[in-house]
Amino acid sequence: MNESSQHAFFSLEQNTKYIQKALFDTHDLKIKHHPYKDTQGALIYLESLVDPALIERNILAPMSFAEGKSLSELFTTLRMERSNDLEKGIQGLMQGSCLYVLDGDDEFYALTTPAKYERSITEPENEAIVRGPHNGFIENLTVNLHLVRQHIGTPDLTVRYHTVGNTVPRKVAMLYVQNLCDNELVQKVERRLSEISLDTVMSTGFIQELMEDNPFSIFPQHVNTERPDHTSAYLVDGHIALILEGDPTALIVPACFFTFYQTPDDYNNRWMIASFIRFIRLISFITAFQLPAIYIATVSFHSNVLPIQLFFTVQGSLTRVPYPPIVEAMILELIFELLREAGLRLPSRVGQTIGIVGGLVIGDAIVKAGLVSYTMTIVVALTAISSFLIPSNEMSSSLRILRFPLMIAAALFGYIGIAFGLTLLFVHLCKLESFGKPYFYPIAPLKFQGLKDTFSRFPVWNIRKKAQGNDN
Amino acid sequence: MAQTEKKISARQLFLFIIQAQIGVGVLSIPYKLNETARGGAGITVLITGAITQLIILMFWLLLRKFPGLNLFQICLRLGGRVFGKLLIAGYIGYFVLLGANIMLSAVGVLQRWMMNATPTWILLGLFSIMTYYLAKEKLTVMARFYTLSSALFIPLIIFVSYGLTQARLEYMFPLMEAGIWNILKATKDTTISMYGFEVILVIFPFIDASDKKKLMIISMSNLFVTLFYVFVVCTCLMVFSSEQLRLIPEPVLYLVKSLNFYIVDRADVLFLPIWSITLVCSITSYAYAASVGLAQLFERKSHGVFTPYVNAVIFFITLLPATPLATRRLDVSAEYAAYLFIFILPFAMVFGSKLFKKKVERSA
Amino acid sequence: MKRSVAVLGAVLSTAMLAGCWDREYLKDLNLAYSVGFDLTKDKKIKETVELIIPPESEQSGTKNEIHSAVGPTTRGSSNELRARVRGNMRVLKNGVQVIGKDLALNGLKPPMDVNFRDPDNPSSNVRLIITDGEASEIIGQKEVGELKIGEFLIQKIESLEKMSLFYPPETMDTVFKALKDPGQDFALPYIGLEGKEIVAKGVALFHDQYFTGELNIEDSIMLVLLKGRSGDNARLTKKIDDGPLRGNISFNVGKKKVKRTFKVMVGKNGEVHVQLNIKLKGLIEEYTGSHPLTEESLVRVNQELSDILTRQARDVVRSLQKANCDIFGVGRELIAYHNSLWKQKDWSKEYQEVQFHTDVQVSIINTGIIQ
Repeated sequence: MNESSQHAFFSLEQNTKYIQKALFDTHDLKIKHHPYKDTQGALIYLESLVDPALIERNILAPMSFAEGKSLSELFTTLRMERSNDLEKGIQGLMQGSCLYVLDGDDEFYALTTPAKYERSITEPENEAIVRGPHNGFIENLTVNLHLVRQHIGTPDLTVRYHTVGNTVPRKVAMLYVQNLCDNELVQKVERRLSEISLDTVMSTGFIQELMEDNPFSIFPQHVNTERPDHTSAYLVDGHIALILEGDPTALIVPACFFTFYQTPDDYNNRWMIASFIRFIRLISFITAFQLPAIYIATVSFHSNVLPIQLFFTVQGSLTRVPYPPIVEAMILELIFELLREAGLRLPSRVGQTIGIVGGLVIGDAIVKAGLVSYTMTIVVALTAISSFLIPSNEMSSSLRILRFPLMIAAALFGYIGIAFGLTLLFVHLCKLESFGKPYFYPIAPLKFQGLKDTFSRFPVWNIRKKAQGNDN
Repeated sequence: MAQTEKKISARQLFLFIIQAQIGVGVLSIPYKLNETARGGAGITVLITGAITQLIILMFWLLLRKFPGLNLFQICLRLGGRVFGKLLIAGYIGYFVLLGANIMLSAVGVLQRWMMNATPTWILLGLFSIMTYYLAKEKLTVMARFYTLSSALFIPLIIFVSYGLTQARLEYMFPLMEAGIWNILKATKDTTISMYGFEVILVIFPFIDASDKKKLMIISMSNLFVTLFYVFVVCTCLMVFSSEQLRLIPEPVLYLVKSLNFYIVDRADVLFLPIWSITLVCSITSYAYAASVGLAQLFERKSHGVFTPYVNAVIFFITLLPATPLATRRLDVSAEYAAYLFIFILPFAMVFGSKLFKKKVERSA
Repeated sequence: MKRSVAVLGAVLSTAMLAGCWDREYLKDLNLAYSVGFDLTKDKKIKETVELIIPPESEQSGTKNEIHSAVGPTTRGSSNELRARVRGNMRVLKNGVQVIGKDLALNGLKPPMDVNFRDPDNPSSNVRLIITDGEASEIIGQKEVGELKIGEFLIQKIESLEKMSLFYPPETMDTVFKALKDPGQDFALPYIGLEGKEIVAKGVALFHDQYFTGELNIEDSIMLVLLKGRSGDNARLTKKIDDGPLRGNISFNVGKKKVKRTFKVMVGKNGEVHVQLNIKLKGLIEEYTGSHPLTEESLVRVNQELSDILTRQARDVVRSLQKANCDIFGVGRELIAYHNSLWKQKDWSKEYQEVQFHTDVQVSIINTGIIQ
């Protein structure tokens, strides 16, 4: 950050020169000479950042009609500032202000006339829900804050601005609800934000990686969402949200493992249905990364656990496959990852074709060709589906990666290998903390009250009772 | 030290002690007791539980005298610099020995039942890595993991209680066949499966509860473990006749093997990996205790630095005995070490602390 | 980073290349589903196995092959067999073992030892069958109708268990238990070959480990009822000859729970009395007589049937004692409740002197939809 300041000069010439030099004579810098009451004056702006209509309506028009009035009176319709610091003026230029500089005056007017080419507030595509508000964050910080404030109409909602990035500073807003949020947590987040010393912060992903407790962990330690309602729900719960200027994602800390398994839809459904869905998701957590490992361990070590009919079925489908199960699984997982990545980068209509090609043609052909068995196809497909059941994209990717080491462990040592892998995994989960909060809460440390809203969703009056009790 | 280490809650303590206590012994106590106590095996276990309770009470008396101090610090306080450090070294040796003993029996069972061909060092290595990864962590993390893995008791208990469908009460009778004397003598065989509660000597200051509550919780876990053992022993005695039991060194596994579930055959294959995780908890407790001791010995703050050495030593100790005889010898030495370190020495310390206090009072 | 790549590489190469010690791919297994054991003339064991061959494509079913070999022990002949059959013969999903009469007469403990000792051998769901001829002949049938021999035997035994011919199911585990228990004997399904058909002949009674006697089908059902158990059905057909009620009557006593009183009492001089009463509730399924089964006549039917069945039950108990087969576990009761007496007794001799007081009561509770 360039904290130097430069007092404005008295001569218009010198001022414009200074500004031109500071901006390296960039071609989109426009200097329009426009006198005021016979004094030489110039309107300076970056044409790529200002709205010409605004300048026309709010600056040029008043100046040409209302002779005699002072400039401060003329520009009342706008947010206007008088300043004598040229550096500050240049910063204003970068944010879409235009400067009006008068000859013989060491103060200039900074008038905010930013161009607003904004996306409309639409529902984020990858977080669509069935019921509930259908708006989402956009790339404008002010609008985003507006959206959050609409949800939380209390004075307790506090916004703190921070700037990150040395050469290209960007604004980060830190949001929390004063009385609900732990003070220690606020300080911790502020400290970590201020410790970020990076030249540029391109996206929220940078902040995320720089702030995490354990960057070597495979698990995401920030929730990110593009939904204002989701964000507000977290804020009211005592979390902190970070929103970066120009990025429609809110980062929410601290994050627990199970927050990645919850969606706002859960609270819009009837509680029994929501509980059932959560239960299904819990199963998907187990199948998403253990199923291939269990299958591999079973067919290469412990075939005696299969009931007799299943034994023959599986054996029948395996006889023609030339590879050991681990290789078979790797082939299929690889193909699946290929298809997924291909589908992600393609426009949605072509993406469907990929789905058909992948699912039907390759799936069927690869079994017919004898490269993999039918049972393995079923296992991998189930795994894939379970990994898509997880609402959070990051968590689902993490679990997808996790199944490879587990598969290798299973291929080496059978069920003992799986037990080994799971032990290491769960120790890691128990160890992990997100901003001082245990990551695997409410399972480790165990809190029965917390479980009510984790594995199932008890009726709202039942889960909220505790919170009320605390308030009193 | 107390500042850096967060304390564990009472519930975590309960499960911590249970996890530390239930180990490899549970698989074979019905077999051992059938040899000596016959139908009265359940009574033997109850008596052992009572004895354990007495020892716990003694520990509590000792620890309560020195608030905020763990075993090693008490050793230093009572024994002075040289003798105290010797005591600490002795305790470290004891913890390592017991950890190694559990690990060796665990691997032995795994090899007999599932992994006939897998070399011993591979399995030992797996166990060492798991215990290392857990034991180097803070106590709170261990407590969290122990709580989590306590969920695994549910399938274990279900498996064993499913065996009750094959039970026949007559197999257990007559209760007093072996006679009172043999029933009492058999407690010697059960004590080894009760060990693990001595970790309270190390973790006592890190528990977030009043002294009285701590004692209550520890006694509760001891009660739970005792009842669990009684349940397992009685189930096995009711399922197998004593002539049959004499042939089966791991009756619990044999029982689980003979169960017939409809979804999976061979429940023992599922039982063993689950059970090996609870074993990891037992070994970890000892590895943790030993590394805390080392940290005290070398006056370091964090025990994590020493955990790799502890695990390496445990690994190499377990590699040594290649024959069943050598394994048996390790077993016996662990048993006698336990008598010394969890009965005689703490007793001496309680006694010593009384004198110590009087001396202090007199000099004051 | 480099180090982690090296570690990963090492792990992967071990995974792919080195033979992982206990690995045994499912597709390489050749399953022996049913096994038969016979005693040869020179006291060796002849093992006959049915191997299940996985199908070539998913649509077709499995096939089977029959092989046999002779060896000094069970495992010995298995090793002998492995030299003959294709691939790796395993018994880890073994479903049924057939034992020839000669071998059963010689004792079951030695040939069965491997089943109890090897952790790979299943024990919970393995049925044991005794045949009056050679087990190799039964297995040698290869197929019965559409079914492979192993499947056929299992299905047959299971359906007969439902018909209360043998109940509760005797498996490798229960037999192991009874073999090691001095106060309890067991009985196994007894089958034979009639022409090309495999026919159930009743049960084979054992004392300790030796085959000592047999019961026919009707008596087997009575034995199951005397144990206080029954499968889904227990059908008996009796002829009654009582005035106007003359005719054959078929009734099912397996639909309702059997009420059983079983008491072992010790007399003054140490003699053992066993009181064994059962109460059966029957449903009439067939009646060939002409007299309608009114309520009054049912009383007489009950009386008549109770008499017939009591007679039969006493016969059964007599044959049990003759075979020295303590299937009700009288000895176990003595061990548990009269231990000092038990220690004085030589049970395998004195069991035959036990006095049974057997009584069967039948009450018909349903005559079907006509009277």
